[in-house]
Amino acid sequence: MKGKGKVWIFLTPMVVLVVIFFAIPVVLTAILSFTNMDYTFRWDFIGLGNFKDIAIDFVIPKVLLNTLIYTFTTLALFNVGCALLISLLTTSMPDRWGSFFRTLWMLPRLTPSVVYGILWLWIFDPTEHGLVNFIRAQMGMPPQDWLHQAPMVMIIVANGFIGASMGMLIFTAAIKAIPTDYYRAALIDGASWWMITRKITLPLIKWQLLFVTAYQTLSLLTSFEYILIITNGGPTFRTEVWALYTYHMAFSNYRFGYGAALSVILVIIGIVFAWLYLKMFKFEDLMQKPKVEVD
Amino acid sequence: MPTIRVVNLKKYFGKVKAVDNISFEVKDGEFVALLGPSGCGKTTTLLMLAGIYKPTGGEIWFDDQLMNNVPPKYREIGMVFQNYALYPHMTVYENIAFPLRAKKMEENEIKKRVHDVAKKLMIENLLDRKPGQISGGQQQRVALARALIKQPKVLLFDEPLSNLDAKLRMMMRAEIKKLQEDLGITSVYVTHDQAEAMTMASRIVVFSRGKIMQYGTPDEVYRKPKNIFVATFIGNPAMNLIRNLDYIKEKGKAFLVSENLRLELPEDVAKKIEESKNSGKFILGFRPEDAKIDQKESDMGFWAYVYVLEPLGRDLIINLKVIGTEELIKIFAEDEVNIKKDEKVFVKLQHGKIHIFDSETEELII
Repeated sequence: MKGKGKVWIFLTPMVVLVVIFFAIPVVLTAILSFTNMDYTFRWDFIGLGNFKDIAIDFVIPKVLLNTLIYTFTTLALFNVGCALLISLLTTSMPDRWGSFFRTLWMLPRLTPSVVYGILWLWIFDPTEHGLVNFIRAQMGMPPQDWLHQAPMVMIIVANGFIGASMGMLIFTAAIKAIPTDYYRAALIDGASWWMITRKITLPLIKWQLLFVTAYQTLSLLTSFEYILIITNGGPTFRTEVWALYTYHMAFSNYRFGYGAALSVILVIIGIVFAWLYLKMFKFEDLMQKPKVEVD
Repeated sequence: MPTIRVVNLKKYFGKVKAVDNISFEVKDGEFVALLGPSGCGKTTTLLMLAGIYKPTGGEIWFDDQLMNNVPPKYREIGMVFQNYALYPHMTVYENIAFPLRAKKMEENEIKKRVHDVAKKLMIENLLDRKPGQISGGQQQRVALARALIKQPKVLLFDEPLSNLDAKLRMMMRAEIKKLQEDLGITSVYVTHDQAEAMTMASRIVVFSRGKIMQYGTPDEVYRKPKNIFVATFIGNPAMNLIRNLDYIKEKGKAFLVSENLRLELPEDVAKKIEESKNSGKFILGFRPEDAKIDQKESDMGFWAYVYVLEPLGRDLIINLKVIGTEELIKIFAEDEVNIKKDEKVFVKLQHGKIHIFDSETEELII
């Protein structure tokens, strides 16, 4: 075999896997969203019935609000904000210390997710044996029931501490790839750390900022495993986010059709955000313009 | 403009002695080149002058102010980098204005100064372009403009021409020299290109392995190289060397000899050799233009075979193999010599234009 035929021999195994584990489930989910399949696993088509139900589901406004608060607070404070801050600070100090602090922030990633989730349950334990309440006790303050006082804070902090490391890695690599001479020139020209960061570093890592923001938005929109472990959406829907609600509908209430419809909407929300980011960051401008020679 | 004084300056990176105890002075308004092969410590020295690197030891003075702990921004320097270090996301205007923005200068004053310096460097029409949209030569001018806009008292150049093509390099070489002469800014210029150093600088510091080999005017380092390193690094083609020679005296006459070579020395040269502290082995050096081809034997010279001819248009370089030593030498031919490959010719050296080095120390004796 020659020419393009050969290409297919190498592509086929991967294509088969993608079709079986990605393409077919996507299509099935889309079809499923038009049925009212339940634990009997019958394909009863009900048209837009599920979507009409979602429109009048009294939990949905709360879930939507939770999702937006959870996603964008975690994103701004940790996955992008904290990640950027760690990268900027650790690349401004001697590399030995920089690496040390970055390794510290990587530790949550190396922890199994269930262990990590349980760790946070211990940290926020309502008795004096929990870390936060233990510290409060040392300062003479009474223990707090964090799960009821501030469940949203719990899941944002827990997700943020693990989520910051990915942005940190990407931003650090991007900053380190900026030629040293830019910084030397700026130092000689008398620029402050803040001016260098604002005028040189940030514009030069714009592409990475876009990528991490977009990627992490989508990943936060769809992730729910730590919330499941730490609060399970409670108390009374206070931390129920869209992805978790979908999971609960499909796998706790066995309303597979309804769950599929919820996840279709989530995908649409994700696409809308991805498109917004491309506009916001002026994606076309990030591409290299052709070089014009005029000599 | 300040006089720069470098005293016993050292910079070690771990065990590596990048700059090892060097001292030199750059006079007010002078243009000095730091010349050497890559890794010789010249750029490290420049970065210490700029304040980017902290010296391991020694002192840097601008006039009577010790600069060792003065941060870069207070040194009143402008610097041009090898890759220009222009910020790719800013326009040419913003690049040039950057140092003034760092000083929080007023917008009107910035505009006026940017246009003044852009006019001087003939880049006014490029101000709203980005660095990626202009040519290498134009980028070079923008980098110069950015260095000059602060009206610095010291200009530092780090191989600024090495990214340009040969033709443009020769043009910018003259332009930078003229600019420096007009402005009278004390300048230090790092280069590995001896032609650049020779043509531009009023004095040259020749570096090798973190040490200064010689500090002198272009004429001094060319005519009176202190050691073999300088002799062979400066000049193109390099100085010819014939190694492993012994000094003998016969019937009152002095000779440098090897197995099959016998070179009679003038009396003053012989005297210098005898007076010097030496290892007993010598290296003879002479520049390609200081030897002549002859058909018959005369007093100071040796026989050689024509190995290969290199015509350069205006000049002809004759490569010769010295009979008895296997050393290859290059000499510039007199115009219109009639010479053929494998021909046996006499290489006649000129009195006063030979250099003799000690084999062991490689230092100049005469």
